Amino acid sequence: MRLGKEQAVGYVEDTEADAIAAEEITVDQSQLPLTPVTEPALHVG
Amino acid sequence: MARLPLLPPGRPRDEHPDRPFTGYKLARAVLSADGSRTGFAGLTLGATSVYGVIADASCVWNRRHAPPRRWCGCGFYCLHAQADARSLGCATENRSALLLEVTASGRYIRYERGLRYSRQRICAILDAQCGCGRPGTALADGGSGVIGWRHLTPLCAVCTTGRPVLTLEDFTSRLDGPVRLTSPSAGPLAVAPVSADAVPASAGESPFAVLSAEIALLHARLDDLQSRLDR
Repeated sequence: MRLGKEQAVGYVEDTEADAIAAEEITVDQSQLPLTPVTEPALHVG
Repeated sequence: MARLPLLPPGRPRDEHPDRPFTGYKLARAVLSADGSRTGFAGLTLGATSVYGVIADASCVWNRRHAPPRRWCGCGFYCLHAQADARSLGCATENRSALLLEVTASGRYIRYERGLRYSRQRICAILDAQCGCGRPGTALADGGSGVIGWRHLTPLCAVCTTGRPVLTLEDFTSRLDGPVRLTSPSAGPLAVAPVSADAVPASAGESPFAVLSAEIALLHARLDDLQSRLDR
């Protein structure tokens, strides 16, 4: 494939990958079906 | 030992854009031997390498350097203009390729008409043309491939008749990531209108029915010839 004359070199981050990763990590806590209930601490006397 | 600079003095500048580039390229569609996975293969230098939706380039000649290396042809390639990629698709050897929209990132070398780069994300399949000139809607075995992968070739709804195919939707669903699928373009050629006089008597009949009738006629003529010889 002929791309023509070289103009520059560089580096660019794949910002789209960051956006997708952020979407995957974000979880709506209210939608979680199984949420552990905090149990009261046991008092051993 | 100090490493040689990437660019000699006086060469084009080093740049760091905020966002990756959008580009256009051609690639062959491939199907794994067991039919469970799909992917893409290059047309020239990368013809033997199959890649998925997100891929990092590696040099096929020298694994010790990171693509794209200036004095090597390694790395992914894409064009800035979709029209240039469509032009490339006119070449005989590229007719069965898919037109893709990609995001190019990582290290890159920017040229007048496109890029050579290290990381690629395939965003969309923009076009797939059947060899008959109609837009492709499905993919059939292209009759070639590399170990573990069959090359696929686009077919239109008419040409898929009687052939085992994978629809473009099925193809994208077997990729290793989401890829947008746009409706293939109709292309520059239009089907010529056919006048009623030009339609042969057999039009609309199945080719098998026509062939059977021809064979029956041939048999009748042979029988006639045999009876004349007997007399």
